Amino acid sequence: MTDTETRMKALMLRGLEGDAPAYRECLALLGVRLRAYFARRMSGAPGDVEDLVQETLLAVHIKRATWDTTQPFTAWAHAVARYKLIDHWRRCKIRQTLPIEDHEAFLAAEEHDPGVGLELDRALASLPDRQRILVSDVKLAGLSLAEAGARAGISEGAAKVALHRALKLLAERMRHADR
Amino acid sequence: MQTDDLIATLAADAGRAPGQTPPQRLALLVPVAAVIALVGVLAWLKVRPDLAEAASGGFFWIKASYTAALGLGGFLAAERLSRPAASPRTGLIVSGAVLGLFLLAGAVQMLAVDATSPMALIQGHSWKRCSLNILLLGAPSTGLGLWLVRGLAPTRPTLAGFATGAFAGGVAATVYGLHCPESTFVFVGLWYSLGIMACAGLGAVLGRFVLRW
Repeated sequence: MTDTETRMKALMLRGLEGDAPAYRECLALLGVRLRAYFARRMSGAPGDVEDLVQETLLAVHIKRATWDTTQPFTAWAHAVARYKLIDHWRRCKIRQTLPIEDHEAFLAAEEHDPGVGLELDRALASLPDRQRILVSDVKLAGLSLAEAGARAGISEGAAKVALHRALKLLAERMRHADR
Repeated sequence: MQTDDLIATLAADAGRAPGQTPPQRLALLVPVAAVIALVGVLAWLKVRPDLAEAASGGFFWIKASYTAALGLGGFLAAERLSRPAASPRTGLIVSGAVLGLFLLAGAVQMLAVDATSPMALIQGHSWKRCSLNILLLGAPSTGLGLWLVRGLAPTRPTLAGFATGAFAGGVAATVYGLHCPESTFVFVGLWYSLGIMACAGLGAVLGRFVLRW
């Protein structure tokens, strides 16, 4: 457990300093754990699991300022995942309880095949054109924020702000999508 | 979009989140709530006529410190409750200790007074209005505070709403002291506390529904 925590926390801290590869690795490790966590608790289709994995990754990114860096990162991420699962159940009118204490089980990294999520694409399609194009440009390997910005005719700084806004909007749209 | 693509997109936005930190964001409520309450006092309740005289006495400041400390406890708890997996313990201890101390002082004051006047001590001059006034002065700020908290990541919405209401109510009650001439531990310990609690209760009820993200 401590190994995973130490590793992920170190990666996350580097990510907060702007180290994109470290941040990417951290989110990838988290994604595997989220998939296992949700798959164990949801009987629904794997697509639902993947939707929730993606929604939680977006939330982790957008709400990263609420992680107190003196605290364990995995405990924080687990609390976000737990909240997103309860929120999902509430919206689907499913009554369930989740223990707060399964933080250690959260660190288990069983491999599950990623399903295909649909909500993210739906939310993405609903974004204003400029934002949607920016997100898909950045998503394509090799296109940095500066390059994507240049294609849209804006500076790297402006591209960063625009991407941040697009991601926030994306998270909101995902949450309000009908399930 | 595959999850790996999403992760690549998020990685392009690595670095600290722009904007204020959670404590900075919540601290914005202090001036805003104070101004809202001040406008309420000036335009509606009026400042107590003997303000200058009262401000040179000790109890005026004891009263202000008490309500401000309850607000501080609310702030500390709300700041923690706006973060997943963080404990609101410090804020709850601060509020509990301050409240306990003040009620204890009130009890001592009750015992010290002769048997005919405890009701006068409890009712003061304005017991019917006091808590309600504080609730009215604090309600708009409670709503604004919930909006600020909602932009963070509260995972226990009812409790987070309660703390936010106590925070806003504490600020409002402190400003309310500019209007209210009551000056006993008994009265303030009872009715001011109740007014702040009412704001907290309002925050809890609303928070349950609006603190979703």
